[in-house]
Parts: sequence; C-alpha cells; structure tokens
Amino acid sequence: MRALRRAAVNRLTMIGAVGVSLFLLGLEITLPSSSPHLSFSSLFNKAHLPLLAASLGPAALLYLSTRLSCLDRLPTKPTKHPLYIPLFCYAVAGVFWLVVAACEDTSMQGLASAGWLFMSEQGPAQANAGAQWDYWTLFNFDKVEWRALSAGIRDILLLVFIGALSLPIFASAAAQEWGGSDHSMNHEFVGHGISNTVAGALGALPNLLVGTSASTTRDRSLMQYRYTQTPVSSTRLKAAAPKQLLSRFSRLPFSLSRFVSYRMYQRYRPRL
Amino acid sequence: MGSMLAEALPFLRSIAAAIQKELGPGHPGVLPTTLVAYASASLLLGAVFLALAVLRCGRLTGYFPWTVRKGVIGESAPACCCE
Repeated sequence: MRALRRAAVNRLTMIGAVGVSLFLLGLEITLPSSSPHLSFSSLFNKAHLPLLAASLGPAALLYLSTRLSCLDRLPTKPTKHPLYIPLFCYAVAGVFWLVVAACEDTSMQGLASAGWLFMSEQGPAQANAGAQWDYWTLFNFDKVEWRALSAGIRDILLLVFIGALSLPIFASAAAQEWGGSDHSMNHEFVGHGISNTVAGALGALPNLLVGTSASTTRDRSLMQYRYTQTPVSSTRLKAAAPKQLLSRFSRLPFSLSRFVSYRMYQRYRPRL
Repeated sequence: MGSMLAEALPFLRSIAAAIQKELGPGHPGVLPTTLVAYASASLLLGAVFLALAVLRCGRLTGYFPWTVRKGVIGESAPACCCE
C-alpha cells in the first residue's frame, strides 16, 4: 500500500515537474524576445511582472469563470454561452486599450518597446502576398556554411537520438494509458518516418505525436493526436480525430495533459 | 514554431547557438545554415524511424520497463529547466 502511494506521489511529482517547466516556457513565449531566459530566479523580476500578470490573469479568469460551480447556478448560465469565450477575448483587448487610453504619454513605439505590443517586421519580400514562399527563400544554399554545420552536428544527432527514443516511450505509454496495445508500433514508426521526412524535405522542424485531452468537452473518446505545427504548416496531420477545434485557451490550463490520461485527468481535476 | 515538442527546443536552441558561435553573430550564413541544420535533423529522424519500421523494431519497445519510461518522461523536465 505504501509502495502504491509512493508510486502515485512519484508520478505526480514527475508530471508536476514537466508541467512547471512547460508552464515557464509558456510564460516566456508571451514576453518579448529581448527579455532574458525565464527561470525560477528571474520569474518575479519587476521588469516583466506586469506583462506576466497581463498574460496569465485573463487565462486564470477565464479558467475560473468557466469552471466555478457557483456561476452555474445563475439562471441564464452566462459562462456556458457559446459566445462567452469569443466575447471574453474581445473584452481582453477592449480592457487593454481602455487602460492605454487612461494612461498618459503612451505611444505605439513606447508600448512596443516595453513589450506590450509585438512589432511586426516587414521586410521587402514580405510585402508581397507569398508569405509561405518567403520562408523557403531563407534556404539560401549559396550562403550555407557547411563547415559551421559540423559545429551543430552533435546536437543534431542528440536530437535525433532523443526523438527516436522518446517516440516508442511516449507512444507505448500513451497506448497503455488509453487502453490500446503496443501492436501498432511499427505503423507508428512508418507514420512518423513519413511525417518527419516530409517535414525535412519542406524545411520544417522535427515532429512527434502529441496527445491532448480536449478539456472543452466531457467526451471520453475525444483524445486528439496532433502533430506539432511547424512554420510550414503543411506537415500538420491529424489522425482519427473528430473535427474538434482546440482553442488556445482550452489547452492552456492542461498543457501537461500530454502525459496524463483522460482518466487520471478526471481524477485529479480540481473540484471547484 | 510549435512548442508542443518542448524537449526539442533546448536542442534547437543549442544547434543555433553553436552555428552562430562558429560563424560569428553578424555572418549572413547563420540563418540559412541553421535552417538547413533543422531540416537535416528532420530528415535524419524520418530516416531513423523508417529504418526502425523496416527492421520491425516495434516489438522491442515492449522491453522498456515502465519505470524507465516514466524516468525518461520525467527527465525532459530538468532538461527544459536546466538548459
């Protein structure tokens, strides 16, 4: 019994550690690229604390408002309305611009340099319509320094090794958790081989399967296989998934759900 | 860049850093070389997967003990944090 409990605690700690690192990574993405790498020590830096609060606050508010049971008791159930989440997103932008209008000496340049707005870099090639083609023009093989490629070969091989090792581990763990069998692992290899080869031929990043549990619906069978969306989005494949749109916000609170089966997720789901 | 494959990000970052360190920050070849490095990593990974499929290695994955699987999944967390 004690061993069982310890195993459960270990698993929770492990999932928690993965979740914390993904959480920090997610927070770092909302910061401007000039800010330093986010870690525990620099999390509460005064320079980016307002930015973090502004990005995390609406997400927490949305999460709480859709899950608090006391709001369900209201007769009209405003948080269950289909337009609630879209209107919430619009309201975030509205509140932001209201605050900007209320503050003094705010210019677009000042807001952008403080990290509140993203600057869109418009190169001469991007003025044309072919933004997708623009990506491939970066592959200027005349300028490729092949001797410098050897400097990164160690990390490339390490990445390939980790990727090749983590697919059977993740996939068989997922199959076990979701009640499947390991029998289809060769098919898994073929599928991932094809998708990665196509991704490489199109100049995109390596990809691996990612499972997310759609927290917008209670349907147990709705586990989605989703491939990482690379800059060239043509390598995105969807296998055996209902046409369920995962909105950004629905995935946000459960970004660690990749490692958690739906059953576990239900068990540890906070009761609010 | 999809951040879903979180454990690959440190590698991608260190590939780019190594190439930039080799060439110097302002070199015009940094971006093309980095992109070619990423694409070649994808191609290599695809080739490895296809080779594993041809060799019918899917059955071998049953020999990974459950604790090892858990350890590898948990290891990606410190890899992300301590990069």
